[in-house]
Amino acid sequence: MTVKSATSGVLAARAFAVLVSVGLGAGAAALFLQFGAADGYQMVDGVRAALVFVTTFWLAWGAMQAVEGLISSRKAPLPMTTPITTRTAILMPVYNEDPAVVFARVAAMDESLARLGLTDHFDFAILSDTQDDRLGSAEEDWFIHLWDDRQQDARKAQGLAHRFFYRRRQKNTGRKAGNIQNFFETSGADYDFALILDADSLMEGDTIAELVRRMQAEPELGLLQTLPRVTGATSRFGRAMQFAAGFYSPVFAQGQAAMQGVAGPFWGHNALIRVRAFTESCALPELSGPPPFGGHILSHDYVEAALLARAGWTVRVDPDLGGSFEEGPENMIDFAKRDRRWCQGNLQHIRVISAPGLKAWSRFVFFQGILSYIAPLFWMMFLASNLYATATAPETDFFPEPFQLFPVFPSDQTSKAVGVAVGVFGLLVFPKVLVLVDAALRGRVSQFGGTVLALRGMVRELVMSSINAPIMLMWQTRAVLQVFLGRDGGWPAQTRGDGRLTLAEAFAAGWWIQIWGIAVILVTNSFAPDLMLWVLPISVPLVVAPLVIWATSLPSTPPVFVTPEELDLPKVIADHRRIVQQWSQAGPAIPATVNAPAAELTA
Amino acid sequence: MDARMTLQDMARNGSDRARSDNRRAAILSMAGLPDAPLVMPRQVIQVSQPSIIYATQNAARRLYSLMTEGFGPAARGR
Repeated sequence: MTVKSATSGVLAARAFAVLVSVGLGAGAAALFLQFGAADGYQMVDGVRAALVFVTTFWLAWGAMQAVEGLISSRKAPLPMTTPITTRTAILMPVYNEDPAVVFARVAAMDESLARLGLTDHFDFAILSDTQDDRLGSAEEDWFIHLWDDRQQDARKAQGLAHRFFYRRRQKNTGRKAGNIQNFFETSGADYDFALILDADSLMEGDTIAELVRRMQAEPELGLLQTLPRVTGATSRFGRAMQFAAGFYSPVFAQGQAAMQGVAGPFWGHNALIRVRAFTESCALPELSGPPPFGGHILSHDYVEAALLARAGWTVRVDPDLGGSFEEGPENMIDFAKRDRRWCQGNLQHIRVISAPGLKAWSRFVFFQGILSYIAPLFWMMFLASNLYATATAPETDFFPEPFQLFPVFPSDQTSKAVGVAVGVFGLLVFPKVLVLVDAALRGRVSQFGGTVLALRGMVRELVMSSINAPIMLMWQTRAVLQVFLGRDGGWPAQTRGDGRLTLAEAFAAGWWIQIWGIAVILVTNSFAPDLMLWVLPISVPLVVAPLVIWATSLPSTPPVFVTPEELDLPKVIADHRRIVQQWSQAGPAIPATVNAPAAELTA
Repeated sequence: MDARMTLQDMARNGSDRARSDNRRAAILSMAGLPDAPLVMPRQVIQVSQPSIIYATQNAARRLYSLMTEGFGPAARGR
């Protein structure tokens, strides 16, 4: 494919998605306006129609990514076999993590590379930003353990350079972005590429090698992102997310890939970067003013991707690459904590979206991120405006003209509102059904236990996410309001482990959501009882929020939500578990504080 | 006899610990990041001076830039 045809293909994909999304949004708004204005046009009808446009557009845009992904789906290319001639640093940033578990990941990935005979092309650097001195000392102990486990003394005795490095910063200036930047400013000149990981990342050696070969083959490629699969979940919530990420995300990511052109995404980890490209174009400044809108850029990965594209480098996600793994939150509270940080990071991009010289698609990606967090506000406003419109609707006037002989019955436009509601629900379900049909036709369902199990997983995930969605909506709305009111979310703890919650913990996190649920029911009952049936699917989950938060944190086991990684454990994950087991019997002690503070899941 | 053995053990343990500490320090020193610096020039992502915006941008873009630039301070009530 030539560059010109590739560019026109990208533009056509973007235009198709935008046109369909805008068209569906406008159609839904027009229908809703007819329904709302059936009893005479009021200002609130226009507001409701505008809100329907924005929310429907946003849902349609999401659905179009799946459609684009299915349209543009291609057979994965064969792995490259060109010799590796470059040097790559594999960077593992850690921040108050359990060193045994994290360093065992390093050992597992090194074993994977060793099986391919490629270790001489790769060094590992553990970049610690751990602020707890006891934990820092434990990291040093475990690094010695890793050093011995990887036989670095024997390597040095043979006259070879060691391949494992450890550095701890006393102050975590710039957080993860600052940590990585510090590495390049200290040691970047020794390497052609750097593989950026998170503390919970695992990658197969052949995936790492394929990334390097692809980057060697394309000198203009500045960053190559993999699509990490979520693994290791054990709770109902965690396994539902793990299933959804494994089953749907490859199609959605393919859709993104079809539209991204040279301005693809960077998700902060499990991605290979070209050192020269990154160092030339990705040193982030602090934004003026205090947090949450000023200070260090929280979601730095999106900004780095945009800056690479601005400098003329290609940034790309290759969803066909397997063997790339991460872990996800196990319960709704941990999810909400992570989402709070992402919310602040994405809203901070309001300050970056007008940066000079950015590609239009990079600006659109920022806009998408901002809208994804503001969208819940639109849904809340839509709910409130409907309650207001119903409560203030004028009495039906059957004799609008003086001396009118026959009554005039207002035309019933309810079917149009029902049509919009059905359409909105369809936009939520349609992409998932499409992905299921596609997976059945291509045989991908076999990786998820077959068509019946995949269908069961899809339906159950749909029900769970429908119940969870209003609760998430409340958390997101609170997060957005907190950021707009100037409250910095800081760097909250991300808990590792099975994530099981007690009812008391669930109640402590969800009582205020319950109160909102009760308030919505009371207000609806008082002012717009006709809307009660429409409001119940939202208000009932709110009222029982603590129960939902607790119940979804309970353990879950296959076969439902089974994923390919559960059916056939990838070698690097099996190695990691084995090494953790071995080290737990022979390694240094781990301080009790290890699970208290946080890990940086993203960037 | 027992007391002498205990003293020997203590001496041996102390010597082992010292050796282990020395080795630990040597490895950690050796495993520090290699000295191969690269310069990372600070990127401009925020046009903070309105005069620069006015000089280089057309009217629509100027308005857009000012709105997006001003959004953060306005939201903080400054």
